[in-house]
Amino acid sequence: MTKSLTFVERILTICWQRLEDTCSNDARSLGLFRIFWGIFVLLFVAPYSAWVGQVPQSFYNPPVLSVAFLFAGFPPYWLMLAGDLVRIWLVVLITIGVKTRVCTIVLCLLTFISTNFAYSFGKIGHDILLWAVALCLAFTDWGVTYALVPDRRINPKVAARALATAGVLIAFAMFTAGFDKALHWINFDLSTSGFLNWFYSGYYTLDRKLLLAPFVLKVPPQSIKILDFAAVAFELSPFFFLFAGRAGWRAWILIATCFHLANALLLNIPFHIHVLVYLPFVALARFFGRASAGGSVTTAVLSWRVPVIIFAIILGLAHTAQRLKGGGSSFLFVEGDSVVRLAVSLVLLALCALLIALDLTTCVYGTRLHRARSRHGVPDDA
Amino acid sequence: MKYPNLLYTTVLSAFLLVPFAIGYLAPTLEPYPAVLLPSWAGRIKTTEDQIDFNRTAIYGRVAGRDAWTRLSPSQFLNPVPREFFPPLAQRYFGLSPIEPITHTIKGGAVIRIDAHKVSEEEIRNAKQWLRARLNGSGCDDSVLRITQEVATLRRSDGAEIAVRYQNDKVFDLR
Repeated sequence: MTKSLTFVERILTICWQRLEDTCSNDARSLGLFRIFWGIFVLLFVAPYSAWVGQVPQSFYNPPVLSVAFLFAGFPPYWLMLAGDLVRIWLVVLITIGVKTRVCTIVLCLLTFISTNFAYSFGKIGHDILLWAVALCLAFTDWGVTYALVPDRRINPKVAARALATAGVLIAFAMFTAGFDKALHWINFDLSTSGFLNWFYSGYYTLDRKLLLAPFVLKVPPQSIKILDFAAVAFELSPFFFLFAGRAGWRAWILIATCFHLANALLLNIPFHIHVLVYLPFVALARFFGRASAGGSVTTAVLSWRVPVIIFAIILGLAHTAQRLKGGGSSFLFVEGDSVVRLAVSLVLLALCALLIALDLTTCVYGTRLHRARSRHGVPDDA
Repeated sequence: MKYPNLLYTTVLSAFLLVPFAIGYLAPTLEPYPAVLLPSWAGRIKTTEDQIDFNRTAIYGRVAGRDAWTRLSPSQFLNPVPREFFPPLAQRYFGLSPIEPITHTIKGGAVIRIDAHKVSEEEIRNAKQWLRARLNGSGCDDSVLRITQEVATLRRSDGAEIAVRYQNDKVFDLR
């Protein structure tokens, strides 16, 4: 028994080491991503659940296996509003880098509770990856660099494991989406289509007729069958790419971003929140040059951080004002549904794809250079 | 700790696989929070000229006339997101008595769970809320019609060819 356990432990050590090498990212990149994350959340995914306190209690139908099932009804409006305001200011604190680790953990836990009530109408939303990945980032050094009140540096092993776990969560979530599709969509029956089931219901019952959606009607349905296979292949492949290495994983998240872009164009389903799920693995520090030592750097660094801090606080105040006036929105302060949401989602996903592509190119170039130097016996720092 | 990676992997696997298994075997029991993404693995026939859609619709009676007008769920229910409309309407917004929920899981087993009980006061509040919404939509605020229907659409242009009402209920909101 002990021998078997030791053997399994050894295999898992190798696997996790591989995952950690694949998913690792430097503290500077994570610090930059933290600022991007905060501004993105304040603009496009702002905490807004107070509306739950304004609907009749007869609508209450919480998921059976959730904390909300223990409650008799929706919480009162004032409590949901207070929760929203606390979460908004936690996001502001995370953006400017004040005790980021604690703020992130508290924010994610509060979000799980608030959204539990928001999903108590008989349907669960699926933004879980955004907050699950954020919870993993709380155990990295994303609150150390470019932070007003930096966190203490965490054990590098813990940080590496946290990012690897984030990668596993993403891969598993995609697997859950692809598993049932694989059982029903993978066949050679050209008279049925899974993609078109999604398309027609959105097109004809939810009025998703923008961008490239009308062109889908012009394509022979039998030709679209290839999309069923492509969707399943994409959703069941991430674990393979996680173990394939850094370039492989970045290639997959680039494909994932393109997948969401295609969904936005053809199905009008905006999944811009996944920009924040994929970008933690991108070496954003590449695009900002090397940080050099010296007093002038402090000034240079602070010079761009001050406007960011001011901007984050302004966003927090704007959200607070909107909430206290009885309104609220999670997307660009616009209340209700908006066509703008789809257009902005496209821009965000395109930007995300560009950043990932640049990082992937640099990663592949770096790997080839390293291999060439190894073959010729030239040190990497020559 | 002797087997740290084994312990970590076991705990993580349980955290991921148990909710997935529950959600797969009994979709109506999907836990929250859980690391799950929607599958929606249904298929549709692509060779026919017509397609059938199951939908839940709400209608208000046009004020001063004996005609029904279909209401836009996103406008009618605002701020409740549109995607929450189907399950809400299928429960008739809590206006009808709700039977214990029966979940049939893959394998044939049946689980019965008592639904959240709706009190008379909650029903009164719901009616008041719905009446305000009907007024805002320019409809008679005394009745609300909720139907489960199958709409047949022409695939080429989405023209509605026929509607079959499978369940048609009219609620007196007075």
